[in-house]
Amino acid sequence: MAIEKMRLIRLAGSYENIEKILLTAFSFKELHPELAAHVVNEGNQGQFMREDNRYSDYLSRIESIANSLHCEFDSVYKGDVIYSDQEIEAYIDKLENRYEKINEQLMSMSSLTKEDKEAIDVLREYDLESLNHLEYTKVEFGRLPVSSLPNLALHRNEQFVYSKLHRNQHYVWIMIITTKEDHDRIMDIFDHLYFEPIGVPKVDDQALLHACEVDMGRILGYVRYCADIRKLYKYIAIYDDTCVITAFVPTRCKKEFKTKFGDMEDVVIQDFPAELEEGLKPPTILKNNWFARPFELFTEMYGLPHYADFDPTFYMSVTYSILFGLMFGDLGQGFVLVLAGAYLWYKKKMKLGAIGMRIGMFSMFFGTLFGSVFGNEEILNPLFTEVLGFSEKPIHVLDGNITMTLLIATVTIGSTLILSSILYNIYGNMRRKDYGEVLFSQNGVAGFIFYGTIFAGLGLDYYFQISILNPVVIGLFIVTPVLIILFRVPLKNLVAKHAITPHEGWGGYLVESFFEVFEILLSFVSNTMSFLRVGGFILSHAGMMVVVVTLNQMAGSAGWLVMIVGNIFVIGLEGLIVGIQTLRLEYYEMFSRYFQGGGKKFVPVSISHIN
Amino acid sequence: MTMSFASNAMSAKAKAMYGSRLKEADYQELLHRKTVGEIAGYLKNETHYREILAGINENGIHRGYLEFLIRQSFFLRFIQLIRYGQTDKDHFYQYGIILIEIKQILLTIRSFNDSDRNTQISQMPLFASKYMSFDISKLVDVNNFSQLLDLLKPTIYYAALKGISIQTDADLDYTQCETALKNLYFYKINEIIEGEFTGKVKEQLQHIFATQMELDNINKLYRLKKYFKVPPEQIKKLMNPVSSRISPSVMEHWIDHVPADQLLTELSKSNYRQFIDKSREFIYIEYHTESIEYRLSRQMMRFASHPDIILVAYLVLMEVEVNNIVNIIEGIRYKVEPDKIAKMLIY
Repeated sequence: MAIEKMRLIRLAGSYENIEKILLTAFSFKELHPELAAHVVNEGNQGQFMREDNRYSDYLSRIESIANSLHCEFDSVYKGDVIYSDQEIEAYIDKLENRYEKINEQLMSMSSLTKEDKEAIDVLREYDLESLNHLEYTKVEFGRLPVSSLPNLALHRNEQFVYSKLHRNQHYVWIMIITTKEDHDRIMDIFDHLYFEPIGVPKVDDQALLHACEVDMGRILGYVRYCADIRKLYKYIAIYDDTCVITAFVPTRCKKEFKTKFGDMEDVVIQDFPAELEEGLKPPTILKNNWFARPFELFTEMYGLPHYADFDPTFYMSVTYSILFGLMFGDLGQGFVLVLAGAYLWYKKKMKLGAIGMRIGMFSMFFGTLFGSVFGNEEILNPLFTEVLGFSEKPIHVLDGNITMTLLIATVTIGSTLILSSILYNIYGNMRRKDYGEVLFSQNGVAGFIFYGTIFAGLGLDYYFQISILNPVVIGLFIVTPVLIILFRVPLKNLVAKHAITPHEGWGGYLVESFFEVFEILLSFVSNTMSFLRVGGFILSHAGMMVVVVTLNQMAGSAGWLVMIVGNIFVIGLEGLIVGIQTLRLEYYEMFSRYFQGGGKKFVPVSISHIN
Repeated sequence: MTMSFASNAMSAKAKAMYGSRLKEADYQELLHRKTVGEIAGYLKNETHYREILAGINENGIHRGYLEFLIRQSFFLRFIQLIRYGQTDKDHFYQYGIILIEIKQILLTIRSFNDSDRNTQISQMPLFASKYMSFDISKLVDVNNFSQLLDLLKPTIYYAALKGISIQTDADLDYTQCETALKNLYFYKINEIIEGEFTGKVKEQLQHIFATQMELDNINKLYRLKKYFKVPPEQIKKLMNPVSSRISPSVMEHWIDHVPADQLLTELSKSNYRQFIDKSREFIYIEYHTESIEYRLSRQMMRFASHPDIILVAYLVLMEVEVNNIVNIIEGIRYKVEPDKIAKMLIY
């Protein structure tokens, strides 16, 4: 319904205490800081905080190793240890050294199969590095064809030991232990038995990886902490020896934010109205009730309103739901939409799901009014005739006699929405104190009187046969507003107390304005006619369901399948089209009349991972 | 009817297996592979060896193991075809087993001198132990001729070898043992054919095995003349007493008067002339005798109708295929030019 109120905060503290100030300020989750570059200018003689990229460099070196090795470790800094630069560099050097060894090992293992690696995992039960440096014996590792095992048994008098580590249909992975003296002879035997040597890994890459993880877990948290703190330096402006952070916080959080600095005596916090400084545009947070909140998605797609403007989301959510419900009126299909929306919202957290739930309910409401359930136009008849006491259901969408009434009714709804959009624009411009726009624009009082008079005249004549469009009314309420719109620029100048003559001169202005007024009048007509699509879609929805029901009757025993597929098709295709068309009506016929974007998104910055 | 159905099933299966043999395009692909792993990969993914090679790690496969699997595939195909065949002709199919056993006995005899137990053990087909007439694994413990005779006493090979008298193991003549065992093989084959077949089939089978032995004789004649300078009288003792397309008088003429280098010329004038691959220059005698056998078998495969003849022909063709693959593997291992390897292939 509105835009959240903001306060401009200025937080000043000493340079010595800057780390604590930053930690305290940015532990607050709803702080929108402004870059020092937006605050410092020649007039205030502020300076920027010196950049310090040391820790970012350290961090990228460690993270590149961690990413390459897919390390998993706990890197939260608990504030218990402080490392000097020399210590950090020594750690990183050691890490890079180990990384090279691991990489070398992984490269040498890249040609191995999954099963080779499984066998190596079994081999890891031994100390791999020791196996490579035995004094009297030698160890070999590789795969032997299973069919060679019986032949191997025939070498019963030879001096060697082997251990089976893994096997599949073709191979058995073995570790062979021989004396150094007999090694070559024994390996010749194995070579004759088609032994495929893999070799005992030179280093235990997993042990090294673990060591890396331990070291990384130790310093990464600290390095990231330092790097993150330094990333916040861009928000600090320095005036003499004082560091100043300029930020916005929602008014409702102002006290909470200030209390965070309760025990810090050298910190001064001042708060001001959000729009105090001309160069600092306050950020916008939309604030809506439960019904309209998901529709913020559509508002933000069009543009965020300026902080000083009004939030059109609620108005849009109501009109969107009504128009969608009208065009997609079916009790059963609306219910499906509610269920699908609930699934998307509760399971997938998609805002579109929440919108689906709401517009689905409107579909159900209008579906009930039209007496339509999954295309069946008869099923709700007893509700109207026996329960509510009507002689028949109130709206027969497919009745040819009602078609024209339906189309005129939708145009009436459209005209009402256009008029209410103009009222919305008048309200918005009054807030902005743009009285010229309020009075003389086609979306202001002049436009409202012009369009409202025509609407009232035609409406009264059509519905009640009362004719009010006499020459006086036409002259006062139609021609006069058109003339006001024609001369809106000089009139605005007059209100703003500027020179009344348009800057392009009277001749040029009149020619240009004449064509503009012509276009405005045309757009009033085309905008109104645009709402005919609402009636069109009511009819097309009913028509498509007639096709489905007819196919159902033709399909005999497989009719239920046709009904299911047909309904899925209509929900999918028409639901999508109607959703898009409604959005188009919102954006082009209504938003364009009253909405002015240009808002700045509220982007809170915090360093939540620091304890 | 059941017998006939089983026989036809074996013919059909053998012909179907022959249909999936390696073709010229496969050999060209294999020749352009750079490593043993690439050969294994091609055989595994593109040829009928996919079953035997399924699950191998082609990137790290041992060359010897690949050759072993290819040879094992040959044996498994033989066993598979026998299962499709007639049950009352089990004896006939033993000719393959006899050949395997003779090869193992000869490897054992060779190991007396060079003590190469590793090769002997590695080439021992223990996967086929259950088909053997004796426990071939015991050959590993045999260290001299007398121990060999003791082991072979219950087998048919004892009678063939017991007549060879030696003072010491150093006197043992490998070629003499080979001749005695090959004679035994030929004798046993003929005995089985006489017992199990009649009429034209019997004649054809006898002719096939006689041709195999005759070609074996030609190989032996060439080697004894060329490399060992053995006198004609001694050569005659080492020849198997068999004649197929070369009459005994012509063979005697070759032994007495034809030098080794002219033997191929003589062969190309003989009754084998239509089966000699004249497009190839002289490489080595085994190439040409194997090529003759290949062409004869290919002809039989096309025109024969009896399942046992088709089986024998198929096995020869498959053995040639296995040898081709082994030649390609060895050629690539020793970085021989593809053109040179191609000359050794028979297809």
